[in-house]
Amino acid sequence: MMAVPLVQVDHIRKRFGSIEALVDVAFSVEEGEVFGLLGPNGAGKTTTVRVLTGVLSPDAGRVTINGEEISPRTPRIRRNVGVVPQQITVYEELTAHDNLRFWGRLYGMGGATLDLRIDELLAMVGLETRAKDRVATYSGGMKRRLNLCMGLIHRPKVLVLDEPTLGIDPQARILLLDRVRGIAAEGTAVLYTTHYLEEAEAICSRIAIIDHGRVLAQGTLEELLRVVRHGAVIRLQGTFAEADGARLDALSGLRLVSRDTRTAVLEQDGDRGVPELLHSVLNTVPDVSSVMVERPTLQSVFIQLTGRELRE
Amino acid sequence: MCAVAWRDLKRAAMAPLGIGLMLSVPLILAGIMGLSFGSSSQPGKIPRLRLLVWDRDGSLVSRFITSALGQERTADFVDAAFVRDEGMEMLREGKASALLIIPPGFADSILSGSKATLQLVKNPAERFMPVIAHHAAGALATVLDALILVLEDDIRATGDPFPSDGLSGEARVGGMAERISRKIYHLSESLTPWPLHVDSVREQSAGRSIGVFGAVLPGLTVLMLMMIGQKLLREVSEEHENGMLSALLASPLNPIEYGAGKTLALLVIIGAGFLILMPAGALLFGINWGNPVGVMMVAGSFAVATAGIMMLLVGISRTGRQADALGVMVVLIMGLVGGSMIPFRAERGPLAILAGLTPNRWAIDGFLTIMGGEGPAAVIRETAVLFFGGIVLMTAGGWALLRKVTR
Repeated sequence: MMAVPLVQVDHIRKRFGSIEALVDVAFSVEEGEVFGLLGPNGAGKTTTVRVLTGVLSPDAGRVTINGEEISPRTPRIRRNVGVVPQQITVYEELTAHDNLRFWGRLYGMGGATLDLRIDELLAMVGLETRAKDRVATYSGGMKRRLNLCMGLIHRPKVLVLDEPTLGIDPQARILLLDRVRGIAAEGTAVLYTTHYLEEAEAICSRIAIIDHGRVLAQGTLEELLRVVRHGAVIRLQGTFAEADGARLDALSGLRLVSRDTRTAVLEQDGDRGVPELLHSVLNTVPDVSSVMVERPTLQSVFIQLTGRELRE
Repeated sequence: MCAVAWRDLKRAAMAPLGIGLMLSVPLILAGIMGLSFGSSSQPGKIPRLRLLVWDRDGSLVSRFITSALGQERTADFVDAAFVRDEGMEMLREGKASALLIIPPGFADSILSGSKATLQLVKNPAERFMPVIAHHAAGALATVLDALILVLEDDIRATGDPFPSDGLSGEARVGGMAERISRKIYHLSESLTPWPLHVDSVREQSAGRSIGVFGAVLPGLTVLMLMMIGQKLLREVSEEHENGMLSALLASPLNPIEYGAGKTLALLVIIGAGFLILMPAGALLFGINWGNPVGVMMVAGSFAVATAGIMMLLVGISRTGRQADALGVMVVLIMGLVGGSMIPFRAERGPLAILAGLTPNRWAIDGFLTIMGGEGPAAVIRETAVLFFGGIVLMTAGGWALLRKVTR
């Protein structure tokens, strides 16, 4: 049975004056899923987040959280959503504990319950020993982790992460992605916006590619990769005779792209899997010294869909 | 709303240096002003110009000057001591702000129509009072010039050793006195009302004196508290720019609660500012702030007005930097026009209209009224103007802010 989506975005549109920020955005996020919204800067990711979190009203379409429509006038529904914005939004004069206390109070929490939750979250991101230190003394990565805690303080059903790894070092990024996986594993629906392909590939179970305010494609990574017309590219190095080329070209599910005496390039052409194809290739031309397989990536998908590279 | 106010207060408490320094400015400025006016500036007294006068001429004209300086009305402003050659030594000892010397031959010079000079020696250890003495001496010279022009014929007549009219000396003096009297009478008619009116500090009906510190400190206090208000509400623009506001509004908090929380924090901080500055003013400068209820009415309504102005500035500014620049400019202009920087009071004309548009003017008037011994009823008008003006501005500012954050 198909899981009921916690987040349902139904063909939303949003215009700011003459700028059409969102033309047609539709997707859904299910419980325990990390859904990636992938697009370049200015694609409409943050506007989508602002509509989805009830900060902005869409001009058309609607967003429901757990079946209820969210808007700037529905504070009760916003209690189901936690947001970690693109910028680091912490108060540097305050301690981590005070920052989290403030966010907890915004959601009506208080007393021992709030203190326990703060301790739990700080332990989760490894900041428990720095809880009483001013945030001004933290590194960028530590502030990012604290930012994550702010979005989680009220145990939201939906967590929205808007480019949460922007400007942090690789180690902190790995730690943060790991925590996001853990949060989703506990049943939270996570919407993760990014323009880092490798992040989307690493943690998202489904991805929507957005550009110019429009969702161009969405699905699992495998489904998206099918958008790319060509399959995997197999590069062979060795010693190849004239007849080897004809034999390789005759193999089912492969197309010979180029060949000389030292290299041969083949392209997957059909439904046969790469391991099976490799087995056939190595049986056909035994004098192969090395094999390299290049799979299509999200980058290829993005280029295929937009005709340009996903810029930083 | 309370969470937002708590956050702002906590942030202010965790970084108190900036606000603390701003709160100390009115006290420091008032102190400097007091020192500049001389050590004799006592609470409850208007500082008088301590002037030594050395009449080296000893003539009728010089005695006219010395007697004028010794008159009761003049004594309100000038503490004149008549000295001889010990005057320079007294000045060096700091016993006066200036020494006015009427040189020998002063009257002769006037009677002969040649250049007559008054000498003024200023005390280099003081800043303002010697300048006042200088200008007072200038004014005196102008008055003497005018009198000489009007009474030129009579003055020359007194110098004629061989009168040809055959009258006795007594008769000539009597006639001359009558003519001078008539001229002065006509002068007074054409010059009334007098163009120059000295009104140093308003005396209230209860008759309690305010003193130089009392006249200065309320204005400086409201100016600095507006600065603090401007600093606090600038953070709204910063939060809008750095994404904090979007994050806050994604929580159950709505924009009205956010604005109200900010305003509440501002009211508390401005109130705390008054609570610090007022006892400090009383302790350091002996200021009697008057009826506490009246003071609270004026202080509270001023805080509302300040919050309204700042909310409007934040609402109409596009960026934090713009809000900052605009805020500082508005606070300084209001401070200048409203009488915070210079304790003056324009009663009519464009300046008076502008002053009436500033919370400074209304707050200062309110404080001075209460300090003068009046009760809370006397400041209802000031309180109402500040409070309702603040509410109107706050509403307009909140609306502008709401439009800004939901775009």
